[in-house]
Amino acid sequence: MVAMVIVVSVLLIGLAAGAVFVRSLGSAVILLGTVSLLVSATFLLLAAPDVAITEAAIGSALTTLVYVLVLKRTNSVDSLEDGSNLQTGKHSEPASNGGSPTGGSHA
Amino acid sequence: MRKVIGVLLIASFAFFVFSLVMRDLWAEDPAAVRTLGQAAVEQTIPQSGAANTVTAIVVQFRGLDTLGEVTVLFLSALGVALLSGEFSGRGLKEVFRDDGGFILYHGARLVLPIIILVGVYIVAHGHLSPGGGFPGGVLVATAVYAVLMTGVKNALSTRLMAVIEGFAGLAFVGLGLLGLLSDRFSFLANVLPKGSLGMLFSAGIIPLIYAAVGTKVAAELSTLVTSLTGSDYASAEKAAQGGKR
Repeated sequence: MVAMVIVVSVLLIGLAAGAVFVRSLGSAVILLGTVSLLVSATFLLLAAPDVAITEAAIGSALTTLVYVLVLKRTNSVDSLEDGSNLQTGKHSEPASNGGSPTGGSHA
Repeated sequence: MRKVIGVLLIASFAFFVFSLVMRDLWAEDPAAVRTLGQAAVEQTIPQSGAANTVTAIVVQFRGLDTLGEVTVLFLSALGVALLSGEFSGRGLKEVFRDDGGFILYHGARLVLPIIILVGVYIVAHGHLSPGGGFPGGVLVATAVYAVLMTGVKNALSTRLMAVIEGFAGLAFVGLGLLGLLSDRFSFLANVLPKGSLGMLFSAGIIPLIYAAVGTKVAAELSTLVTSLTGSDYASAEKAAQGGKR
């Protein structure tokens, strides 16, 4: 159990560093959600299931969700648009040859 | 500059995590940790009748703080509603325009009742097992969001949600006034019968307060995600007008 806590803590700090230094805001948000999930696991290992449930629900689910929606609102995320290109598959392939970030999303 | 601040933040975070972990795992006798917790654990069952000590602390020993937390959550949801044009009737553009494909469409409808059931369970058993009003309410809101991802318009009426939320908040304050009206003359005093330990209907006003908190949190966070995705009532009306033009 001690080894598990140490592994989770090291992973936690690595992911937090990644969230600070990563270029894309969308990736930073996803990394922060992962940090929250691991913090929740740490709480569980330290025998605090109450806080673990709250952290998993609020920190990991709701905060990530609100961040993603706000990034989408402010149009400051490119990776989400890439995702929608992936979704439409080969239809958006000819449209996004110029590498425009708003590919086929307004179709 | 950004890198320096980042390194400082990471270093302090690492220090915090490792001091937390070291203290609990390698301390010989964490006496300073134990004294307050021990007192709380000893007083929980005679004073509140709740099996879950954390809930007894959150709802009874510091119930006024919880009322403040609910107020803070309400004010932030109000801020989001103001910024997203909820009150001016001009909702935001909707984020999810198509139904998201077969798997997402049917998967969201499949997990919706399960997530809501788990959320209600967590709220209703807050005084018996880990959980409570806040995480249970958030779970219900994420279930609503899972369905909103499939491009549903006009999924829930934000006005009805506001009414539900207001009544839940009034129920919290009313349960507190119940203690003020009794012979103990104390706001949020636990005046209802405690029942037997570990039963669903026990611990006096604690499950009732958590039910009110859970309803309030679920209502306001569902409204929050609905207005942020732009699939609320106002946006649906606006889209219908846009379609007519």
